[in-house]
Order: sequence, then C-alpha cells, then structure tokens
Amino acid sequence: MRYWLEQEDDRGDLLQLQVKQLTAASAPQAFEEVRQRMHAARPLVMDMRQLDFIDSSAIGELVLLGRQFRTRAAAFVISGLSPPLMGLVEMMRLNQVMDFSPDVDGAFAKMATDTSGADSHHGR
Amino acid sequence: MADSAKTLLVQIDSRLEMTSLVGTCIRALCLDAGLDEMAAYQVQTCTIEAVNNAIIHAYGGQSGHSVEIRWRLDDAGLSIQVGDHGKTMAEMPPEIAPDPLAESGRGWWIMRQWMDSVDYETDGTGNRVILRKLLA
Repeated sequence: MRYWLEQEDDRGDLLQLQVKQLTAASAPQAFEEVRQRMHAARPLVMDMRQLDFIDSSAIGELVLLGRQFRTRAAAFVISGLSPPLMGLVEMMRLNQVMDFSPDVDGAFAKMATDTSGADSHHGR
Repeated sequence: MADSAKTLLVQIDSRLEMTSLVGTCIRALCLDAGLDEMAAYQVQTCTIEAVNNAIIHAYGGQSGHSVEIRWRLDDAGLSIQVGDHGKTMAEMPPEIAPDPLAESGRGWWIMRQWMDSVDYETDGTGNRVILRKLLA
C-alpha cells in the first residue's frame, strides 16, 4: 500500500498523506515510506489534511521522524491537521517540539521565515 | 422494570489492523448518542488506545486471541469495557504527563484526560479497562 503522494512544489519537498487513519497497524509502514523518500538536509512538508484519526502509536512514530529531521538539521512541518487531531497534538504538547501549520502555504511560509534553515525546535 | 440501557458487544481477533474498525464503530455510536464530533473523536481515540494495549501488552502482539468491546449507553452516560484474557497489567501507569519527545507511553494519559473515569479491573475471567463518559 502506498501511503504518500509526492507533490511537485518549487518551495520544497511536499508529501501528501493518502489515508484517513494512522494507527499502530499502519503508522510504522507509513513513516518508513517517508524515511525512504527523505533527502539529506532537504526541508519537508507533510500534508495530513486527509487524516481523520491518529493514535498514540502513530504519534510516537511522528516524534521519531521529527527527531531524524532534527538530526539532519532539516526543516520539517506538518500541515492540515483537523481541529480534533490538533487537540490531541496540543494535549501531548507536540506543538512545543515540532512545527505545525494549518495549511501547506503556511507550512512553507514557516520554513521561509526560519532563518536557521532548520526546524525551530532544533535546540531542544 | 425494563432496563432501558442500550448495549452492544463487539469481539475482534487480537490484530492491530482490527482497531480501525472498532474505532469507526465507536465513533458512529457516539454520534448516534448525541455526542459532538470532538467528543466522539475523543471516545474513539480512548477506545482504540485501550484495544491497542490489550493486543500489544496483554497478548504480546500475538493474533488469535479475543478482545471484547462492550458498549453501554444509559441515562447516566456511556461506558466502554475493553476486555482481554491475556497478561494482567502489573501496576497502573503513573498519572503524569508524558514527555512530548517520548516515543511511547501516551495511551493511559490520553484516556485519563479525555474520559470522565478510567478503571482497570482483573479477576479470574480476564482483564478489563472501563472507560466512562457522562452525558450532559
């Protein structure tokens, strides 16, 4: 199963999630796909607007992926999470250690304003 | 006097790919009970966390075992029991917020934050997580 669609975007790499749910059953494979597409030090926006459910196992995979981007000093922004999912992200304080944006344009704008070229939570 | 409670039992095999179906079912039941989208999402999430724990921890991630999800709706609110017949949890997880950078250990925190009560019971017949939510 293919989880992501690679979108052309001259502002950076963009992956669009193609499934509605990420759970303990699917998240490891979905994020492994992302790792295989990661280009060294290239910024990435993951558009998750189609997602309507994520469990704590998938959040753990997301944290692991974010750590790998920080190690590479590459910007990484997640865009398009629905209000309920952002509620979970905020309750877990993930928004304190990772970057989120309501939409893809906002995600690329966030990267553009990050003068370090790395994720703004890199120092944590 | 007749019991006016609405109950439903869903039984699945202990495979993680089954949890999405359980979540979809619970979300639909919550919406039918009058919960709004956010509350339904919260109950769906908590139920899946409990089912994940049963499969991963009680059964060690092995398929071929039974996980029972019992839905009950009455005047007081809703309750969802997630039962297994596997390994009993040795001690309750601590009631502290998980580190945002942790890769695991969020399930019980989520359940405690989003449900009105979460209990764990065990006896000779098995283990049960009981999630309760009061209805306004």
